Amino acid sequence: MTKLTFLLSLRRHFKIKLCGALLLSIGIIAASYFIGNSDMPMPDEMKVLRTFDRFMKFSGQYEDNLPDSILLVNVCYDKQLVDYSVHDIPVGQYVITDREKLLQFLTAASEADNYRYIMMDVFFEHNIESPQDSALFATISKMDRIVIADHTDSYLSDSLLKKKSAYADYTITWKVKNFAHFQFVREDNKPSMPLRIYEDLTGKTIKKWGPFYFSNGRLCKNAVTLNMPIRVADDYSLETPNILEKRYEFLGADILAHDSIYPISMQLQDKIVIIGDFLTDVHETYLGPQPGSIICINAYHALQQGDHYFHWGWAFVQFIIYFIIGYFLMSRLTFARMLPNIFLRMLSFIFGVPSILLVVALIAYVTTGYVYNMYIPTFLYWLYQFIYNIYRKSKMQTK
Amino acid sequence: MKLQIITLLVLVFSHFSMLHADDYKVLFTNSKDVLIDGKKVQVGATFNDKSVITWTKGVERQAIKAVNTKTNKMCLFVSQSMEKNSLTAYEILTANKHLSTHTPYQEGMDISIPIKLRKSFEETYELLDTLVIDTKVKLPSSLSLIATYTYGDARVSKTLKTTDGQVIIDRQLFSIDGKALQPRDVNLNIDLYNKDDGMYTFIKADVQLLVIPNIVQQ
Repeated sequence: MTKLTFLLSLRRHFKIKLCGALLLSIGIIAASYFIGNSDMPMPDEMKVLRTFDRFMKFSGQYEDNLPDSILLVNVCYDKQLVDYSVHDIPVGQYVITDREKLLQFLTAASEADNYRYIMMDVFFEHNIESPQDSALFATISKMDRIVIADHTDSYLSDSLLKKKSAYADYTITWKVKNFAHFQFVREDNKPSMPLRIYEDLTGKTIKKWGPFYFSNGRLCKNAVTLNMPIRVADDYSLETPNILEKRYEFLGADILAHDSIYPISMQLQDKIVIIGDFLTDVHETYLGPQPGSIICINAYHALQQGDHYFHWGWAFVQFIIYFIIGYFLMSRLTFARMLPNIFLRMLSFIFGVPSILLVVALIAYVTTGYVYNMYIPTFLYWLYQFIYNIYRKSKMQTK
Repeated sequence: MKLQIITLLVLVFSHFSMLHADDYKVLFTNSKDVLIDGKKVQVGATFNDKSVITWTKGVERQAIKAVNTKTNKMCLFVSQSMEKNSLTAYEILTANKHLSTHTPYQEGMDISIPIKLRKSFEETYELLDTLVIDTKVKLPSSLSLIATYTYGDARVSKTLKTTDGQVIIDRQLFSIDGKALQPRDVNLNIDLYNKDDGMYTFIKADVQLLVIPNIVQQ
C-alpha cells in the first residue's frame, strides 16, 4: 500500500470514525470499570499477573516479603476435637482450631491492648460448639480493633460475633477457578475483612452511589486484580546458612509456650496480627498456593496503597491507546501497513493488538503496580469486528 | 593526647557496634549440650550475633529457638548449614511435570501434604525394631502411605502405619497375609494413596531400608 492510499484510507469518513473510535474507547473504559467492580474474575487476570510475575523474577525484583508491622500467627497445629452432629444426630467428632488457645491468646492481647489490629481468619461455624465458646465469643465481642471471618453462604455460631465479623470470600467462575480478583464491598453492602481493617485503622471506607463507588471523596473501584507484594514462600527465610528467621509463629508452640520468657504483650507491640491456618487454608494464586490470610492482608495493603482509586492518568493513557486502535480498526488498517520494511511488517504480526495492550499493561504494572484488564478491550474489539463483518456481508448480499 | 583520642575512638566504635549488634534470647533448645560462648545453652539466656555457638560433633539436627530482641522476630539457629535456593532463568520459565501414573496433584487434595512428605524421608534407614519417622504431617483418614518393595520375584505393597504426624516402619513390613517373611535389606518406593478416588501420588523412590539382625551371628 502506498503512503497516499494509506493516508486516504485514514481520512475517509473521518468524522464517523472519530466519533466511533471515541465511543468505543469510552465504552471500553466504562465497561472495564463496571464489570471490574463485580465479584466475577475475568479470564485473563491470573494469566496477566503470572506473566508480570515472571518478568519481575527476571528483573530481580522478586522477593519474599513480609513487612515488620505484620505478625503472622499460624494455628495449623493448634487443633481440638469436638462432638459433631448431622441433623441433630451425633456422627462423631470434628477437628477445629483450638478455641482454648485462641481464648488464652485473645485474653492476653486484650489485657495488653497494644496491638494495631487483629485479623482472625478463623470461622466459628454454626452448629460446631466447644466448651470455651461463651468465654471466647464474649472476649471477641468486647475487644477493639478485631475482625473475624464470616462467609456469604454460612452462618456464624453466635450473634455476638456478627458486629465483629466481615466477609472472607472470593468468587470463582466455570472459567476461572483460581484467585486473582478481590472485591471489597460484597453482598448486602457488607464489607470484606480487608475493608473492615481499612475502615477501623484509617476512618475511610468505600461507599456505593448508583453504579459508582467512592472512597474518601474520590471515584474508586470496588474490586481489584490483586497484586500480592506480601508473600510467604516458605516457613523460614534463610538469613545465613545457620540462621533461619521464622516467617510466622505457631500459636501454641511459639506464642503461648514462651509467654513467661517472651511476653505476648511484647510480641504484639504495634503489630497487625494475622491469625490463620497457613498450611491447609491455601488457595491457588498467580504466585502459586498462598494462604487465605495472606490474600486478605494483600487486599488490605492494596487499599492502604490507594490501588482501589480510579487512576485518571492511566485511564487517559488507555483512552488514547484504545482510540488509536479503534480508529485503525474502523479504517480497516493494521499497524503493519504503516511499516515500510517487509521484515518489520512480519515482526508486527507477532506484536499485534493484544501484545501492544500487554506491553502497556506491563509498563503500568512495573511503574505503578497497577494491573488493568485486557480481556474487556480485546473482547469489545472482537465484538465490533464481528458485528461489522455481519453488516458488510448483509450489505453485499443486498447489492 | 594521641592515646586519649584513640581510646575515645575505640569507645565510640564499640558503642556503635553494640548498638548495631543483634541480641537474642533463647526460648527453646532441643539439646542441652550446645555451647554458647563456652557455656551450656539455657532457656532464657541471652547472646548476640558475635557469640560463638559450638554444636556437639557427630550430632545432627541440633537447634536453638531464640527471639531477636531488637526486631522481635523469632529465629532458629541450626547445626546443619542450609543453602538458599535461587531460581535460574530456565527454572523461572519451565517446570517439571510427571506423565507417569504417579500424579503429582489431585483435585481437592491438600497440596502441601505430598510436598512435606517428600522432604521428610531420608535416603537410608536402619531398621532394628521399630523405626519412627517424624513427618509432622497428620494424614486425613482418606490418605495412607504405601511402601512397595521387591522381595525375591514378588513385588510387595504394604500400608505404612501412621499416627499423629509420624510414620512407623517395623518388621510387620515383611508380613504378607499373616505370613512372616525373613526381613532383609530392601529398597522402598513410597506413595501416597487416596482412598476416595483411588489415586496414587509419588512421594519417594529407592529409600534404602537396611535391616539390622536381631541376633548377632558369631
